[in-house]
Amino acid sequence: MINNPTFTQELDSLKSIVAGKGDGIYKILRDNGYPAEYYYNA
Amino acid sequence: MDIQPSIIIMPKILNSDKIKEEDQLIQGENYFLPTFIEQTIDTAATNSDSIVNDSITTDNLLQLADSIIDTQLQGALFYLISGHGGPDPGAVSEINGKQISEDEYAYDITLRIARKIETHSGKLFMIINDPDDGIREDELLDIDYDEYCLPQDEIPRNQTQRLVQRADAVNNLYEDNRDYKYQRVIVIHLDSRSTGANVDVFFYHFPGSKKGETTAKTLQSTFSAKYAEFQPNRGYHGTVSARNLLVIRKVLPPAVFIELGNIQNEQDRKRFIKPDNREALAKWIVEGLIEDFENE
Repeated sequence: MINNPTFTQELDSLKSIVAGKGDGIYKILRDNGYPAEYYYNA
Repeated sequence: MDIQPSIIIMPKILNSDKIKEEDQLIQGENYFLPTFIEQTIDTAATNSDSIVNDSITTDNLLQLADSIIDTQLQGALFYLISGHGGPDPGAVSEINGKQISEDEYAYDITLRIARKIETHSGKLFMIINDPDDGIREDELLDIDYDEYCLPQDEIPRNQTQRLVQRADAVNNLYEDNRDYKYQRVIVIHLDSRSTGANVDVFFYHFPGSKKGETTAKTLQSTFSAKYAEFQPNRGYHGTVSARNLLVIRKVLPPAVFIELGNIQNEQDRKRFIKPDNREALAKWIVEGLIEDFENE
């Protein structure tokens, strides 16, 4: 479960992320519709 | 779901004591997500897989965007020129044995800019088109040589002829669209320098073009603000300068020439190789154009 100051929701993708298959917290943001600038890294 | 606007706090900073190497998370740990204003969700970006751009021609029908989300660019007209194309791939480099080229990445980012302009009700012409490449979600983009210049012209090998051709294409369209009070030419390129040269996104305008200079400065200012917001410890050193380049000299509307980074540099490459980064670059450019249009 991810806690947010304003909302809380279950995220299935967390399982694969903690197993080392994802891109960490940026993948959560991407999967939840955050704009690309939130995980821009260049 | 209760989403409220608030100050954006970057996720890695917010959770800095709970993130392992390579951004891995810890099972059983709780994490904070940054809040954001709901209407900034880029719905078009989530539906971008394999959108095929048969050709964006001279009408104003939606070609790339799924829908219009607002009218912030209504009354604005853009001529988008992606660098090189056809027989000229521009700068080339190699990643894991695969050759990559400037023109493919410039084209993909230009298409993303075009899509965003459409979502904000702007009108645009894609001066360079590829009949079978749309917005791609791949990291390593295949190279092809079938791009053409509006209206349907083969791109010549000769560099001067090639540049004059695209400037003429803009000017021919300009003659039919003089009633648009705000028009800008946006030229998208990647740079090629030594592998160790790390350069931020920077901007050229034609010497003496006040409107071109203003637009370039607005774009630079937008990038500066975005880097400060989303990568607060990085710094941003992109510049605005005047340069007498053939295309931005010859086109009739004010023009900005954008260099997105050094294709030979590993860090700069992330800006183009990762589709999410290409999307962010396009978003920031269009946000800068919106501000420029509003200030005109």
